[in-house]
Amino acid sequence: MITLYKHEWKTYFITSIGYIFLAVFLALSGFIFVVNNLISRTSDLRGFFFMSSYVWLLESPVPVMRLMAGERRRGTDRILHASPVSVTQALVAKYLAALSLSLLALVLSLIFPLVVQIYGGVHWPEVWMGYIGLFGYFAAHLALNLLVSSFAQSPAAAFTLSLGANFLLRLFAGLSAQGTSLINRIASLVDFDSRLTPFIYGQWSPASFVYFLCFAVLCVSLTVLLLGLSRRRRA
Amino acid sequence: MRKQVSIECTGLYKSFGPKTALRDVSFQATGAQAIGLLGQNGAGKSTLLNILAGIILPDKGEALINGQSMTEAPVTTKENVGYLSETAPLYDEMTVKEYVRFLIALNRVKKADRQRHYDNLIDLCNLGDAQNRLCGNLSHGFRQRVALCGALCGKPDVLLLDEPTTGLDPSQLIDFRRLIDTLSQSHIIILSSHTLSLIESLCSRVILLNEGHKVLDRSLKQNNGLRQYLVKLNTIDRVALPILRQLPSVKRVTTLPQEGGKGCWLVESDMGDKFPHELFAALSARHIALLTLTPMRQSLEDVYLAHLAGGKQP
Repeated sequence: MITLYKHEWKTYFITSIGYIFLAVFLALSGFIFVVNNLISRTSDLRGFFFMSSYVWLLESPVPVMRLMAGERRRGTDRILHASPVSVTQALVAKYLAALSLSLLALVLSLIFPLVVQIYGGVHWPEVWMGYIGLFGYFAAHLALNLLVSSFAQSPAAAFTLSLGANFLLRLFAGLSAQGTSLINRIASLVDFDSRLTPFIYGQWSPASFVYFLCFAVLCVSLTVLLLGLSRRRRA
Repeated sequence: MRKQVSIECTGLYKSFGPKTALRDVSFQATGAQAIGLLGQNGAGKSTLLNILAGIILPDKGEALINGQSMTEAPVTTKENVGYLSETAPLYDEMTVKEYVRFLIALNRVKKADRQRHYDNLIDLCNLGDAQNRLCGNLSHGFRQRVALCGALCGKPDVLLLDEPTTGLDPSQLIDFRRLIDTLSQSHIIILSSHTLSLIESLCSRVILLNEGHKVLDRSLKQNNGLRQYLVKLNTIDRVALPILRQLPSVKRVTTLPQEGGKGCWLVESDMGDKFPHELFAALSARHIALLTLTPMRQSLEDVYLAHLAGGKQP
């Protein structure tokens, strides 16, 4: 599993997808930071964190789009399936590599609070909570994208499906605040935003963090299960 | 000492939607040997290899490699299997060195042994000059060689090669034959190919699939081992036929048209070496002159065409 993890991690930077992903993430986050903090001359980073979650809706398909679909398109999935590595190990290794890339993006985005620190003051416990919340949020979205994209035949299709899933989930979760019917309650189960909000306000919310982790584990487990089933059918 | 290698397939079935790719395919092989897997396109060859490699699961039946079930213990069983796919997929962005090292690590070779294993594989597959080249820049022949090198990572006992010579030029083909010939001394190799001459020259046994059925499973040595004889005697059919038929090693006698008053017969013997001795003894006892005894060689092509035309063989 460590071998596969290292392989995936290296591949991000050999194929330049990793650089592109980080550059776009930092550029969009930087734009939000400039508009939200520098132009407004405020050290309040809550708006920055909130808008970063929107950036993630657009960006999260990138690290996962080639993990399975890329292998399938090139036929290298056969190398993995014929190797003494279980489907679970392979998927977890790939997921952790994507998660590490997301973590790196978050770490690099610390430059923005540091800029605020230089020119003013930052309440660091609040910032750390914001980052922890974003990490959980990113982890859940990545797992969802892994699930959705695992059955696509090409990275482009995987990207499109993941992007669609992210926005559909966001729209559906929006129903949770509009009533108490069964649909509204179901929508609240996938409402990531309401779980992210306490972190953005600097509060530690163990329930929300566990929710994000459980959602991620559920999606990765479902992907393992469905890929296992597809091996019984595939040509 | 290397353990005894074996493959055992029992009642393998596999369907893809309405199409049944494999129907009740069973065979076993023990000890190092090269087995040719023949059949038309869509006969089920790749499906069988994919099941043996653990890439897909059978609907029914079981594949055992060295006594381990590919269905029940896939991860440990796959340690004994090397698989080379028809398209030789490689990670194009990696160099040959990175690719082979990656597969060595993926196949759980101990860290202390990795460098030695890598050097051996590079030597064996003659990839010394290509180590630092990107896989994506390699010619088709080199890609096949690198893919074969990848299949050998982890020192598998069983090698599954799915049409490995497609697109190779003659010199690459010669190299490949040499390599497979060497490997067949220590591995069970199942070689799927449409090139009958390749199978004939490399394999000691052939399995023929037709529409998912196994229609033939026989030793090629036996097939090429003078099983048919053209016999010409200085006598007529009425006298010779009972003599030929009563020989213990004779399975079937076919009377051919006479040539200048001399009788001609095609004799099939399942004990090829014994037949000439028995024939000489029987003829000399009856004072019949043997004019010609010619061993007939039935080519693999003849066998292939005969069985595909004949359909399923129980």
